[in-house]
Amino acid sequence: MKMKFSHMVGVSVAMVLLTPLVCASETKAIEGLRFNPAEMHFGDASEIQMISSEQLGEMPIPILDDSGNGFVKILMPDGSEGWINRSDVRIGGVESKVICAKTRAYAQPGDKRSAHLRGIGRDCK
Amino acid sequence: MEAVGLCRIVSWAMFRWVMYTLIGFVILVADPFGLGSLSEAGSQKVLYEVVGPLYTTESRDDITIVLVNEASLQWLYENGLTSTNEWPLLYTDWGLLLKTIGQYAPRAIFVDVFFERERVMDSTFGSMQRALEGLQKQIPVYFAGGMRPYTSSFLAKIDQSANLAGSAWEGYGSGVPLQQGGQPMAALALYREACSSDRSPLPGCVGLSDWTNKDGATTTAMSVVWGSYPALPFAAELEGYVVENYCSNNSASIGDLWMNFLKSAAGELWKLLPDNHEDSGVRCLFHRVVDADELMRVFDHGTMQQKEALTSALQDKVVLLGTNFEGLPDVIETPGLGLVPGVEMHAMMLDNLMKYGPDYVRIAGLNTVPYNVAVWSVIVLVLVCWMGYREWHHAGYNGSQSNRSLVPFTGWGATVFFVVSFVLVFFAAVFTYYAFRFEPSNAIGFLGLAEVTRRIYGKKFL
Repeated sequence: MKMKFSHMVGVSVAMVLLTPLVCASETKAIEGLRFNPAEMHFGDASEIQMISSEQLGEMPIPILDDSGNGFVKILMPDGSEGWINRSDVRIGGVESKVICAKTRAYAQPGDKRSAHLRGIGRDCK
Repeated sequence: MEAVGLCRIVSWAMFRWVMYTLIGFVILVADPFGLGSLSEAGSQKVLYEVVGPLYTTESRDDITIVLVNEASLQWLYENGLTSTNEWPLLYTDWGLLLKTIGQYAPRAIFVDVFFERERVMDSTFGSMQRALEGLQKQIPVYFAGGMRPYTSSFLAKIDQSANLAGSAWEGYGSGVPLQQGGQPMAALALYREACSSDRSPLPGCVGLSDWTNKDGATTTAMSVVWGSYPALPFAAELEGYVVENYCSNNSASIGDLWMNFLKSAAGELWKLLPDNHEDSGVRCLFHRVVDADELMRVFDHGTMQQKEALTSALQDKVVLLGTNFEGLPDVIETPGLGLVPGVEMHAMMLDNLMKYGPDYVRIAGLNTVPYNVAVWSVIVLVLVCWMGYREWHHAGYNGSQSNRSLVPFTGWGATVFFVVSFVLVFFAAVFTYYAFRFEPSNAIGFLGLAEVTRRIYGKKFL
């Protein structure tokens, strides 16, 4: 099945136009402080400082990087870079659906058993 | 002649009483095939299951469980709140949950997660420690310390910015200790926070916790009494459910009590009946649960109404932070509620203490045989008196017959004997439970022993 040239052009133009929108929706930014002041460190993380929302400047603040151990990198109003505790800030950009109450589980029938242990793997060769 | 006959019947009755008591003693001591132990555990399960609807709820409103499970952790991760989507959570994630709970000024927090040693793959302990140091100034925070002595150096590190409380035990049979080596278990530590005269006691405290400071007051382990009328989880409350249309395991009336008895009596047969599939619907816990994802969602983005509901669930409450991950062995089998997360055991113990105070139900002792023999001897005394009365009646109330005239319980007599034994055993179990505040004795085993005595008597041995 061949695609018409005009369709190909149309699809290409649409992709070019939509790309920035898609990218924009994936950009994470700090929308506000969850706990004020928030933990922050600069440089080698040897010293933690407590930073108030006033010191951080206007929200949202784009996130530049994620350390993977609980801190995200941001740009301070004075142009310096710092790492802020991601627990202390509200990050926008992603929101998944609420978990419906009827799908939750709190207790199980008395005869339910698990014959496995989670996350355990032994190599005894 | 009449007096002589009566004397003979009474003497035989006393002799039988001693002999049947001894037979019971031998069987209870020998515990053949472990049947005694099994029937003892079964008896307690049945009685607690039957009386579950009678357990009132005045203390549970002061206790809230915050629960982390697979679904909630996945949600937290997808929304950028945690750095992991899989057990175990990073220390910084625990710090986040603790700081958030702390915002609602609970009375005390207990973290039912055993941190044995610092994970080399997780460098975020400092974050949790700073969260604890922040909380320490306003809210008592307890961590599960496992079993005494707490030798872990990591626990010692946690102990600098929080408190440790016992969370594991061994050697108490079906009971749970309140303290080990002078160190309180979690429930006792939380009870002191909730009901101490030093702070205004919570509304659910029936009395003050000061009695726990007396020597020996808490040395006997607790037999935990379980309620069976569940609390509506916070997530269901937000969606407008009520217990009756959300929790599949709701039972609170006398009718439910009777139904529980029938279920226990019918055993597996009950499940064969139509419309009795208990697995449908959501099985709830006795205490209110706030899922970790709802905690964070409402804290961050909830409406005013939702935030008020969350405040009412956490403010000035004893909050227990626990987990419910499939494959982790921290689950407890309960009478009436099924398998529940281990944290509910600590919550239920705390509930028992707040409700009963010094009258909490105690285990009968490390060796329950003397206790069971005493209860059995009372039951058998009634039975031999009945046997003696039948003999006297059969002899025309004058004992004139020269030979002893035993009247075996056969046919309908056997059925009546079983019913009478059942009633005696039931009342003995209920009486010891309510009057002496001891765990229910070996009721099922006593029924078996009663049948043994009937058969011995029927064979005219005794």
